Amino acid sequence: MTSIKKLAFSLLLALAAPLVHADLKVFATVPEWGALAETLGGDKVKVYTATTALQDAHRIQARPSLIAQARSTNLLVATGASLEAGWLPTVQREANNPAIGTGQPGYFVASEYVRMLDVPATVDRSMGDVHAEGNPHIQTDPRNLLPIASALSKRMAQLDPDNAAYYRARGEQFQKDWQSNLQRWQTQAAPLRGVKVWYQHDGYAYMNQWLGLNRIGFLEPIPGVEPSTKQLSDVLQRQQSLQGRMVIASAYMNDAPSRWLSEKANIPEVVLPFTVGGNAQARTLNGLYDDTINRLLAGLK
Amino acid sequence: MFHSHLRTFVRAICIASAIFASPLYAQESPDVQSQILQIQASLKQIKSDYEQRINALEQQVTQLKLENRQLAHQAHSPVVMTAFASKAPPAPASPAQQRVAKAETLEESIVNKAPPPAAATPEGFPNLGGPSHGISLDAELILDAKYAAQSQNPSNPAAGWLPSGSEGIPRGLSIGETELAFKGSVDNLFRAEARFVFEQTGNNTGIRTEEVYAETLGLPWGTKVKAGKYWSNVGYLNDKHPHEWDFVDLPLAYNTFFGGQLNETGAQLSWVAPTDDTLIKLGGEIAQGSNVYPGSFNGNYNQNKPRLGTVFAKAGGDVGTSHSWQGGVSYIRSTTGSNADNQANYQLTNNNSLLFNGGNTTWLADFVYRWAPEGDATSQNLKWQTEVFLNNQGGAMTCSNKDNDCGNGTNYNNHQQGLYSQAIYQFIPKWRVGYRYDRIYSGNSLYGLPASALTGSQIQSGWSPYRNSLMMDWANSEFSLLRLQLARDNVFGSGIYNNQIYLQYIMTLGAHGSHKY
Repeated sequence: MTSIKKLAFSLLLALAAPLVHADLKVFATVPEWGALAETLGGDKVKVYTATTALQDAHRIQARPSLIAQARSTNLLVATGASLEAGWLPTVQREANNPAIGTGQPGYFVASEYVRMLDVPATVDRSMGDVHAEGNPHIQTDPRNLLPIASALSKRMAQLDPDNAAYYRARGEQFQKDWQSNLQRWQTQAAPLRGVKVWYQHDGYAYMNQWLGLNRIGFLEPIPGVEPSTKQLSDVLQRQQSLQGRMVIASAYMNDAPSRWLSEKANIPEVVLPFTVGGNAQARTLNGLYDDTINRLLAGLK
Repeated sequence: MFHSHLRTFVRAICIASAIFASPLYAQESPDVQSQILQIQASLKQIKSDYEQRINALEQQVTQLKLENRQLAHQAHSPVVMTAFASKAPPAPASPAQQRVAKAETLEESIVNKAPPPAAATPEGFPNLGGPSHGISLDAELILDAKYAAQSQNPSNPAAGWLPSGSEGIPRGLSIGETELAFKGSVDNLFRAEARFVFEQTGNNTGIRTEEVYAETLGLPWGTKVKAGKYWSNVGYLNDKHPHEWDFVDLPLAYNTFFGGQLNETGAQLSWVAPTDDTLIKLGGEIAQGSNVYPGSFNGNYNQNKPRLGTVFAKAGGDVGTSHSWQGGVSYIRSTTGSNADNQANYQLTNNNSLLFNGGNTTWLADFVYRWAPEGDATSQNLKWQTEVFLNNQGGAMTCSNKDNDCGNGTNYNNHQQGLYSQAIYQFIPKWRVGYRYDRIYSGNSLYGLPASALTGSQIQSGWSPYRNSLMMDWANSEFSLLRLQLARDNVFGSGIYNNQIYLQYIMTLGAHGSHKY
């Protein structure tokens, strides 16, 4: 009897004890934070990325696999600003993992570290999918990665103090590398300054500001709502006078409206990767911005 | 010339002051020393004065931040706050004021005027309280209105089955249930949720408590305790709110075996296994058993001992990026207890009433499969779900009638089954079509009673009806939905078909809902 009890007890312990790992288990909601966590954490972290570049991070189902992954995660890295509001709260609750609850050090919200754009004075659902906290697509400006990376490094060191020096060193290296990347990108992108562009979706507010593009309008009448034929014709009409140079779409969404405008107005359609993994060239963080700028520059020709 | 004089003069003063201030000299002259002490004391006084002033200023800043945050929150969730934040001042009117209101903290309102992000690099941690949005109490209001045309009267009793307490959808126009939900973290260890339903029946509005519970946020080893009134976690559809259903109504099996959904006052313990890819969840519940579950069909259960229990196991995962699944097995058991007051009471249509004393066991298996191309459900997706019920009621019935004694039954065991299977397909953005097949099997039980006790009632003989339902819905956004449903069933007896047409809208206001799988 006692041996059975012992066995049952040890089995229970084995199942219940949190996995003793030297690694920090990171759950990233979107590919850009997954890539950043890998860059900053090196071989001391094990990163799971919940979505791919081909998915709309707004509309993810709280699948059982996400809950299983969140169960033993030490650090949940999210964008915040309601980007994941439709599924992440469920994953956090269902995972029974106190470490990643709201307000815990294990819950890192990237948008808390950058200045948000498009913060509306009032929010009404009739305006479409508008976020009270501001535009959540902060990764489209690589300058935002500096403060986010700095805070994320510190958070990793806080959660895994044994490897604090390691995270600090990698964090400093990232800041240096990124500064020189920024220099390069900004030089390359100089011809884009002031160029008039249409956007299919309001996903590039930060990129638009970074590169100084001239955003002349959106194809979507209100965020998250596909344009009708009538609305597209209106855009075409306005294009006659505005003379936009290109129309910008994202890899993860159906680009039919952009294609339509591109054909009708005879301007190039530029499909940007939007995040890491959006296309074959954007496999890494560097690749994401290299490819974004290359595609925009190609649109000028 | 004048300059050189001035320079000499300044030099002399410097030297003199250096000598006078030197400690060596000071020791020699007690007079000067006392002066220095005086100066030191007055410096200290000045320092403490300034400290006090700085403290006061800090307090003012904190106060301002707090006020600003309240204003910001008011701007963020107008629905919640206008109704419930009694302390917050009225909503600011001018655009300039609104701009102030939307800034969450003083820093942010300053940063908003600062140059681009790279220049304004916020460093280090903010407070670990998450984004500062004031006290988070999310409110959600869900409207659900219907039109129903049915060829049979839905308030007729279902043939072949003991009354389950479930209600059909009334004919004609109805606003059914309006759901008001509040939810939020209580503190770092607890989270709570309350949902009330305003039910419209004719001209009367009643309030029903749908869910009121608190759950833990900080228990170790993947465990969680939830207590209060809530929808049990058994099966798949059982804990889905009506606005999450894919059809206007519940499957027949739910209506028959659970009298709707199993919604009980009790406590739940759940555990999620530390696996990485495949979810494994185990749980159990105890509940007072005062709802409409067959073994406890009596709202007046007045005993210390809870009389309903459940155990459930769930597993789920992905297959590639486009496919996901979840399956589960649940066990539910309740007993009436031996006290006559706690017996279940069934009213028959032949004016007899049956008192049940015994227990009821249900085994419930559920499976859900979902497809979304590349895991992106935005434009196309498919959901197939099926649940199978095995029900066993065992005990003894007593028949009573105001005129005569209609008989004491012997012990019996009645095995019943039910199942439904449904598929929902979103073929283009916003548009979905779905089909559901329903079937329940009553068995042919006399409930241990003489046949005469049941003669002329709805359970004179068993009946195993089926139903076919077709639906199409259109969701303009995740907050609004219009649905058309056609259905045909024979729950009222052999050859009596109820043809149904439903039109429904579901409107969601307030906090952004985060739905379960």
